[in-house]
Amino acid sequence: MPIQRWLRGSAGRYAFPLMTVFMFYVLGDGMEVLEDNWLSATVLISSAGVLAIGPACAAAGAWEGARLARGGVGAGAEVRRPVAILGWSLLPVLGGAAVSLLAALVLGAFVMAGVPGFPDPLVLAAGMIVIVAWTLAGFSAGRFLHPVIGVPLLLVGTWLWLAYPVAIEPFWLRHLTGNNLGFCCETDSVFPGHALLAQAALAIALAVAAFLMWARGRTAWWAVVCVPVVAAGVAFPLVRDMGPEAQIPRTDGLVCAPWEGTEVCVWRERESRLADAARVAVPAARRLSAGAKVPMPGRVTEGPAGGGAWGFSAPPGADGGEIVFGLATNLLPAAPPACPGGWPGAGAYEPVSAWLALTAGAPRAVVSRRAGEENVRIAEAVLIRPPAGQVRWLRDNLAALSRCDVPWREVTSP
Amino acid sequence: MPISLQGCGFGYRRDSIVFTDLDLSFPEGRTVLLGPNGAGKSTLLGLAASLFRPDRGRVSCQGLDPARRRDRARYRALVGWMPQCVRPLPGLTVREQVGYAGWLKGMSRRAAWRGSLAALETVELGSLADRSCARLSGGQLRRLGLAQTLVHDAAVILLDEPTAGLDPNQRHRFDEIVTRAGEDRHVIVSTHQIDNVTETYDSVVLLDEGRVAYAGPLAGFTAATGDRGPESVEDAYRRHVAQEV
Amino acid sequence: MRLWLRAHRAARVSVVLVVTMALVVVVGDRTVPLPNLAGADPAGVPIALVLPLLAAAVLTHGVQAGLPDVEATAVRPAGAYLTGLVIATCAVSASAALGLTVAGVESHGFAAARNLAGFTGLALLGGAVWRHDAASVLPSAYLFAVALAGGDSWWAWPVDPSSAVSSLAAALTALAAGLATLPSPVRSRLSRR
Repeated sequence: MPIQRWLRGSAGRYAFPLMTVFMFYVLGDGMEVLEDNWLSATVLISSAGVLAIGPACAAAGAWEGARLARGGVGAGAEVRRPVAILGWSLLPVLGGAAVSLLAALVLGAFVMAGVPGFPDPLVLAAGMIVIVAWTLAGFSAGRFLHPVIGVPLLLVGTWLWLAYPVAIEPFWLRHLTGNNLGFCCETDSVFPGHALLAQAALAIALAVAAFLMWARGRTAWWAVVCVPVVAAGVAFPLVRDMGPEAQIPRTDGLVCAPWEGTEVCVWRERESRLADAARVAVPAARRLSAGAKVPMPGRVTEGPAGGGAWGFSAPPGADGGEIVFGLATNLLPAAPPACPGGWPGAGAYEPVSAWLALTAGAPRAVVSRRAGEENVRIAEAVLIRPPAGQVRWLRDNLAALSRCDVPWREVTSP
Repeated sequence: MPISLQGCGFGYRRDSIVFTDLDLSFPEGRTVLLGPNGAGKSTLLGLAASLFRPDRGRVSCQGLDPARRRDRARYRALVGWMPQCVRPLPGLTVREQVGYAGWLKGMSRRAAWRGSLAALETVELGSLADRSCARLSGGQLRRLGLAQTLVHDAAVILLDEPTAGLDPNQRHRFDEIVTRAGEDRHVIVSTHQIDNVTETYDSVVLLDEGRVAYAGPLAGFTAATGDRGPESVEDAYRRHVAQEV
Repeated sequence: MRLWLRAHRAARVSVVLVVTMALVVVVGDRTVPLPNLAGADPAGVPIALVLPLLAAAVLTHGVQAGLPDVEATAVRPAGAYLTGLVIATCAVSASAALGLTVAGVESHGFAAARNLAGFTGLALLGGAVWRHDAASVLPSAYLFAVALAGGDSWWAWPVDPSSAVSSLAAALTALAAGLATLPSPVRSRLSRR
């Protein structure tokens, strides 16, 4: 069949511009607030693709499936195998989807210019599997549904499945759809592989069930029921315990260099900022170590802290004061304690932050902006006390921040 | 005179004109409507069935004009039409579908129900009356379409390529049914099958590129080619169409 | 008439209508996130405003079912019957939805009935001017386009609340335009496809 005629007859011809416009529309604002890492860009592009292209492809698939059914292709003694018929029928639709995704990647490349790295192939692959699966589901539905019903049903149904779980609980449901818009990824975190696996497993099961339904008709009802159920059984445990977001701490990808006896590490995307960050962070750590009477860390890192390493962050646009403030407040407990009857130490958080930041040498203006003027004044009142009193105040309040039975000590306390 | 068209002009779109100024009076009895693909046979039957309204001119049957509101129902009661594509109605049995067609043609529910069985017997589908329409074969669907046309006892029956896609045996049986149906009413059949024309039909209308190339008795159509059965019809067809070209 | 109702899938239309109403009552006020050009309201579209699209598709399919060619040459007023089916369905849903809205059970109830009327009108219109089997593409595309564009204008009727009078007028206009395309006693140029 001439290519022109093949393309002219396909629903992909109409779906392509619509899904492309919708996808760039979804990408819109997201591109402006991307983190300085390719994973966040890949998750955004993949999710925008899934959300915008998935429903359009499912609807186009329903149209194509109905077109073949009306033409009696399934009922005839066709020479080509079902997978070949299906492939040629859906190629324009999926080709359009691929071109849209590619265009989004090119746009992403412009936005991420200067950020080392590449799009994450696994995230992209999972997104594409989801799109293909819904296209196949639409195609299969088209065999049994008139397009007047099938097209809107698949369009709305797919959109609801991809978009609605974000608005409801349980949280694990949203991690099965393939739409991860806004769930991930700051530079210090990565997308959990098990969530990707769950999404891919469910999508593959959907694709297999849809193909069997289309190729074998109602005789394959057992597969249509069993395959997704089994896949759901595999996928559910993988995402059951996940929260609203899909990110876990990043452990690799650090670039380190010694600086005045201390090793300083930043994420490889920020390698160009390493010297500037070290020039600020190491002296700040030294001041903090002396003021708080804690050992000087062997390592100051953007990666996992603890065990002689202090954490800090040097994101693009952060000036020296903000880097110091981040380093200082990294000494605070990461999470508040779960106190049944209220947390008496909650009030210590901002004053202690201010004291740590001022001790580390952060400019007063930065500390005032981040911790509040009132808390800066409290910290300054502590700072005029003898060093031993300051350390006692700090330790007591650090205990208050991590325990439920210790109230925080205000500056008026001895 | 079953149906006549006077000065009819018709086009599906402005750039797709089928007839510009068609004058035709269908002969009485059994008439075969011949013509090359795209000549306008189905459109002509659509006009005659009052499916389409002519852009110009007038269609009439026994003095009734379907374009006039007061004539329309009586005109349609007179004319039965079997479209080229007969659709089965999912969920309905064969008899119910025929009864439904009769009801649409103005019969009461009871009369349509009674008439449906008679119509099915006429087209030899009586044994399948209770079968689902969706389970009929291509040939059976054609006969179902004919039964839909016969159920309301129309004075003129229009059949649009009723034997297309049927095997020779089925075609032969169909011709027998048409012959019987034509005994007490006018039958106009559009077809490309000309092997049986001499046995089944009394008259011929030949359309070519939206114009009437011949309209009259079969004998006149084959006059120049002798009496050699189907061969002479084929020769006459070629001669008339070639002359037009 | 019984056969006409069966030929036009009236039972299925009724079932889908009841299911849609039930879903509107149960989950109608939940919103599905959707990016919005206006940018101000990231809350999304209430499900109650989307569900009628499916009911409208089933109703449109019911209208298109039957024996179109035979009905177009029928003695009985088949076109009027189809108009009656659409109007009756919309009227029943509007009555039920008005009750839901007035009783405070579902604030989007009347908007859902309005959307059923508007979507059905657009589907009938789309089927007449483009192709019958693609009838529901027009309301689907319109819903998503309007949901993305946002705004409070009359043309954004699919995403407007129940109280918007101009939106009701726009949806009823769409319904009237769609009904005007239903098979006339003798087919016009528009419906010859």
